[in-house]
Amino acid sequence: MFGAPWVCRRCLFCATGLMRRRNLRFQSTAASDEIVSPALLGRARSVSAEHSRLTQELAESFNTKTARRIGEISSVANAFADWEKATDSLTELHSLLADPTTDAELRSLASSDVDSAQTALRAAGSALTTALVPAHPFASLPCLIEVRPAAGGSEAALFAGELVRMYMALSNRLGWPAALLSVTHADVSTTGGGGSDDAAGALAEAVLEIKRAGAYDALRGEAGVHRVQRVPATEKNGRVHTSTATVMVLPSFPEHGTGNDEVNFEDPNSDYYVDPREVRVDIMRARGAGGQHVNTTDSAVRLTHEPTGIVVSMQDARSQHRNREKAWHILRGRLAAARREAREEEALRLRRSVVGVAKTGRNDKVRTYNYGQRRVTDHRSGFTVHDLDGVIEGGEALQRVMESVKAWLMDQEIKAMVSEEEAKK
Amino acid sequence: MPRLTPSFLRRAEKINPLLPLLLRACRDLRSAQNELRWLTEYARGCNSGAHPRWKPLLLDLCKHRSQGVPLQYLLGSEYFGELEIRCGPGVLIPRQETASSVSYLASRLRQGDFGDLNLNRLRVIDVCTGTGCIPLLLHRLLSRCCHDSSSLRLLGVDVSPIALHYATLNRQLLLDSLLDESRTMAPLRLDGIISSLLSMSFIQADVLPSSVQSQRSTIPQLLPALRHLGEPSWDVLISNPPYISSRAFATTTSRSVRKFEPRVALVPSTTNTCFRSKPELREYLHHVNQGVAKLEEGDLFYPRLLDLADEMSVKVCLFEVADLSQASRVSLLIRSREKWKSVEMWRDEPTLPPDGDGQEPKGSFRVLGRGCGRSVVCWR
Repeated sequence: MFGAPWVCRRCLFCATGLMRRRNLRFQSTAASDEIVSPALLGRARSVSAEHSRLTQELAESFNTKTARRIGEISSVANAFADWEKATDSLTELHSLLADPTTDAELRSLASSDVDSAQTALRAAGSALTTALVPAHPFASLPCLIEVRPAAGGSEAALFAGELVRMYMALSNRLGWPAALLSVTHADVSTTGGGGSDDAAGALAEAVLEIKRAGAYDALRGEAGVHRVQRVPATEKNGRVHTSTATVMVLPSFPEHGTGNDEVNFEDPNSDYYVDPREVRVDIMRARGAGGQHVNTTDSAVRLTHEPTGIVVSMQDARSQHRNREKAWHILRGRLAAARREAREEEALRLRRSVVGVAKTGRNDKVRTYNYGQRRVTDHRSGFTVHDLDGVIEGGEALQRVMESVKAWLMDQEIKAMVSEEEAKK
Repeated sequence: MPRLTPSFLRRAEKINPLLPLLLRACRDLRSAQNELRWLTEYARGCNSGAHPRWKPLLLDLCKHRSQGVPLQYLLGSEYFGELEIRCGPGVLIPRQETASSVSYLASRLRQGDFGDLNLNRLRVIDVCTGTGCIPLLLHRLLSRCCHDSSSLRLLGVDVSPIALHYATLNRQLLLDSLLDESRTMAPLRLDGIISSLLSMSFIQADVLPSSVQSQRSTIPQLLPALRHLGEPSWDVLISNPPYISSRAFATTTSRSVRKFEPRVALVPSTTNTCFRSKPELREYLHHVNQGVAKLEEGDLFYPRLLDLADEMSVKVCLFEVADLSQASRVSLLIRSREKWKSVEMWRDEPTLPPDGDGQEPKGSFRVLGRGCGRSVVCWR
């Protein structure tokens, strides 16, 4: 009877205030902190130690492999040396200022230098992080931009056309060769009074190729859902609509065999490269003693690529030598095809990661073009410009938005790298 | 030899009526089909003028092949490495295994594994050269990697006049093809190659010692012949001598080889060249043995070749052998001479990794490659 009565948990929490929601807003954009993360610093330190060791090694005996490795890591080592220098000078200035015996003139000089030293350190730090972040594997490739309307019907189709024109204008302005590989126009049935122009601009799909090395790196931040908020040309009652279009940016791989440059079998990065150690060679030998005891005409050669299990056997020619050459040729071709397929799969995976089935809605946008406020906001970097026309015409403003996205991507990569480094420990 | 079943022969006949003939020699369908294709190509190709109809010729070829005539003799050539070598009755057909050994020797020479030899002015003598395939292939492999191969000197020696005929013919054919090539391609690069090929020669001489040689022979001995040429010293000695014992000739040697290839190129103790009786042979072997290597009948040439190597101050030797047991005997013989720094045995395919099913040799010799024991290499 005097035992504690049962109380509903929700009532209990409400009474004691345990469930009170804290109204906090978490900053959605990364603050650009100037301090290089300790994990990255550790990595930089080890890389520069390796650099000095290799340089010493190279002074003793020349080795192409060592030389190439040095070339790869020298940028990190240089950036790290700069950063160390900047840190040293800043600490020296601080110690001067902290020292009570410093005379007044020197102190004023030092305090005026602190600012410049700090900016130098900041620059060195950002240079160091940039050097540390590995380049995207496809960074040096040209790219394909695919634009498709998503939510919003004909208005979305119109907006997709505008996006394509925006990217074409951008590449024209920058002098990058761009070509529309395929355009499919949507048939907009509900065209308004003066809608013939708009109907021409309504897209079902467009693929734009930008044939410039490094275009993929410059434009890969554009991938995602672009949202537009405006009163559409097709709207009669003057309501603001929100529609979206999806943009996909894919690396464009150069096609082999069409170029005039010879296919290089020796280059390990080439599709046609086959490591001879991974290939098992079987020659159909005569059973028994062999040598002078038999005069076999069997010239068959079988190659087995052990990592993939691809088998090529060749017995057409009487010459074993020729059979072997032919078998190698076919093996190279098959492996190249397999590798191309793998790469295409990778591209497909990229495409799916950009636009998932449920990710083309109005909420999953990366950027908003708001016509009412003449504003373009990128939701990843949190960057806003109030120069909508400049963006839509592919002008300077678009480039500023793209640069902010690039910085954000870099930030994400650094974060991923730091967490990776920490996970390693 | 397992019998070919009638159902198998019927099946083959359904594919092509000529296949049963070829199966008598080939014993399996895949190689019979290959041979039929090559024979057809040959018959169509060479008989456009003389015989307007190639089908009777093909039938004739298949009949010959069914009796065991080597395909290489019928087609008149065999591929040796990247070269096509002419051959015919009376001369040993070049073997693939020999080509592998020679190619590997060339790559080891290029790596400089055998001490300091100047590849540009290398002097190579091939004893028992047959079709001349070994010096021709070695010339091809060495001259393509030298800066200036004009001082490369190769000499082939054989006792048989038919072999010398084929060897000079092969050299001439290779020369012609090179001259053709030099007309279309960079002539400067080929000049050295052509001049070294021109300087390659073949001489007739006998290798076995005069004490055991038949008295009636008019063929000169090797060393006097070399002195007559004015070239008594050489850097590399290669030999694919006859190495089959008369017992192995009767048992393990295939029928086609036994019936159609020259016995003088296969069995060293062929009666008409040197030994009149078996006791004489045994006495000779006991004499050269010095009790170490326990040489057998098939090993007759090797002690003589090593003597010649000493006389010619040779620095690298490559001998082809029948199997690992012969390789062990030859290696022990070489070691007992105490004039050679290292000895290696190579199997059929020296470049491939061993697959572990081969037997192990006697003595602590380095064995390379996969397959049967095929060559013994020694260098100073």
